[in-house]
Amino acid sequence: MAAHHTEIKARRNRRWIIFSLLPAATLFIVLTAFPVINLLGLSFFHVEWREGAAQFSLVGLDNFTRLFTQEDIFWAGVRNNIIFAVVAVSCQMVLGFSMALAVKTAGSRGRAALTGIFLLPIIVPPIVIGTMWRLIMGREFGLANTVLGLVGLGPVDWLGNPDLALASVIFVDVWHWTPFVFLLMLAGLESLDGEVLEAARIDTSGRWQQIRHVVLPMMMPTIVITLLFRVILSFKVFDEVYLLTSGGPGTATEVVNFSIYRTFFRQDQVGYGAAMSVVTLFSITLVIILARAFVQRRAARRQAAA
Amino acid sequence: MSNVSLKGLKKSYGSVEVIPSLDLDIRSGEFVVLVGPSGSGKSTLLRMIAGLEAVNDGTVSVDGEDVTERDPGDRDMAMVFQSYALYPHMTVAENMTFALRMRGTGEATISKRLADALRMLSLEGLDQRKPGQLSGGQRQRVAMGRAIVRQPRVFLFDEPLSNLDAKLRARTRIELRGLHDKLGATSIFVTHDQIEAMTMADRIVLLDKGHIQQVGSPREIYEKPRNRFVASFIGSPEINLLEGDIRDEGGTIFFEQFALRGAWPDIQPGPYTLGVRPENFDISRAPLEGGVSLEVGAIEYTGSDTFVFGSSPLGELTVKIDADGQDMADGLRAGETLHVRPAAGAWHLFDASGSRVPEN
Repeated sequence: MAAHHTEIKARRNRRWIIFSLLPAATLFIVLTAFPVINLLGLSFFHVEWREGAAQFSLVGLDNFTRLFTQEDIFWAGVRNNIIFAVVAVSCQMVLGFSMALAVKTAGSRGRAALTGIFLLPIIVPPIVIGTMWRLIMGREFGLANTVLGLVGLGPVDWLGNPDLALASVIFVDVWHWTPFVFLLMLAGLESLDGEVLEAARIDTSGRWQQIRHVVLPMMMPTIVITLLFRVILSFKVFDEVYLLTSGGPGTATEVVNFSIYRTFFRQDQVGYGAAMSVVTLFSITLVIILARAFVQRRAARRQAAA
Repeated sequence: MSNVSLKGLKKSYGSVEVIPSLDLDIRSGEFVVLVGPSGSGKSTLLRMIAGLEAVNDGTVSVDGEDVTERDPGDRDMAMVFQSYALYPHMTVAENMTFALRMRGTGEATISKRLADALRMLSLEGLDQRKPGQLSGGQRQRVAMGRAIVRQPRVFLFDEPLSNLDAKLRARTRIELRGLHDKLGATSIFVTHDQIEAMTMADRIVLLDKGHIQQVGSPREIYEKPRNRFVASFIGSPEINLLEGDIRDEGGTIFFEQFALRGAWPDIQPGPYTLGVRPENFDISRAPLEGGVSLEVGAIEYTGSDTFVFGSSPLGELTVKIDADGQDMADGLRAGETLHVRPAAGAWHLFDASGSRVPEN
């Protein structure tokens, strides 16, 4: 009797779980999985606009063959994007972490002031950031060159020199996104056990030992999540490049997202653009899966060794 | 072994004075317990000695050497925290040897000291576990081990037993005191628990609002409390503090109806407070000469003793009936009347300012 009763209850409970999850799950599938499938489908077609309607013709793997054999600009973008991601994200992580440490150690008044100043760049809309930095980095009348001119240097063509343009874009991205990393790192630091940090102060001689052997290992979960997040976002960089250099000069600041945008919207090559998107999407997913597997394997190995 | 000397130590947070000015000398090899209610400044004082809290004024010296301005890591002190504060990402062995490794101590010394400490604390076989895989008692031992392997000049303990259950706490008290004696170390131990203070200390430092109320052996503190605060803080159940007048009747000193024969022959009459501990009463069912009646309110039987809480003409009283009086305690019910009288010589008298009136 009682067993029967619990069985009914369990079944009712299961039904409740399924029905309450259904709306969110449906929405997720429609909004996320469907566009990806649609994109995948599109990548096998050649699409032309004729008489106000799209004409689909199945071309099989042609788009992919073209991408891997004849394309130059996209692959320049991939190369730039990898440089961009590695350099910008490394700088953001180091700077953000250091700033968070500085704020954590500062007194309460200093903390409020520093947090306010550090957070300013995320509040500024991207369009304003692009315009602002173009004005600063402009060749003729830019603030940067004016200041350099005062000490007898320059002028430097920050955005027009192919050797400098990518570095300039990276600089703006670091300026833009470091506060975000800082915020996550500060939240992570605040959540560490205060007594453990005090124990570390007593057990170590010098701040570097505390950071290296206690703070960093304890912050690892936060660091990994932030890193992952920033790497993904840096492969999606668009607004800064669009506003500062539009990918130029030449392909100096071409990035993946910009190539896709141009192919899709400027050149109306929907099928080819879809193929680029699919390659990008699956590469990033693969990298994330491999990175996660690597981290988990390492954790498992350390556990086994212990 | 090292002595610790605090001179004119001051601490305030903004306008809030936590420790107005404090002097204390801790002898080499001594086990000193800082005890007091919450807000007494005992933890702040310990943290100032450790260097975790900045000092506004005054000095902390170890073996005559001023360490006030030194970093916590450069004072050669080890601390055991209330939450144990083990490094969650390190194994037991890594936790215990961390400070030595950071100081570049030789591999041979480290492994020898680790093995000694593991044996001393019965932690053998657990050295490769992470703190998350240990019980509360084991974590507490690891925290002690982390302090022991350093062989520091001074051990600091910040309520290290308060997260243990009652049984384990009682056992750990004895073990910790045993370790102290074996290592011959200087230990400073903070607690709010008077039982820990009484059972472990060579000397108790009783603090209230940042002021030292009394420094002395557990016996001195219990038997000769210097003021009302000390008398009521130490002892469980609390001492009875009775308000009344002292008068001189033909050479005999009376506190209300109690005759205080032999003590304080030259005392000034006037208002005083008489302190009598629950165990220092003569108790009888029949009226006692110079005693008061006690209407029984509540009875607490603890096994060895019985505590009776009731009201007398002089106010609420707590009296203890010990094992010898269990016959009397057996039939006792709330609402009945007993007669009690402070036992001769077990009186504590405090003047209007709360200070102890010394016996002649």
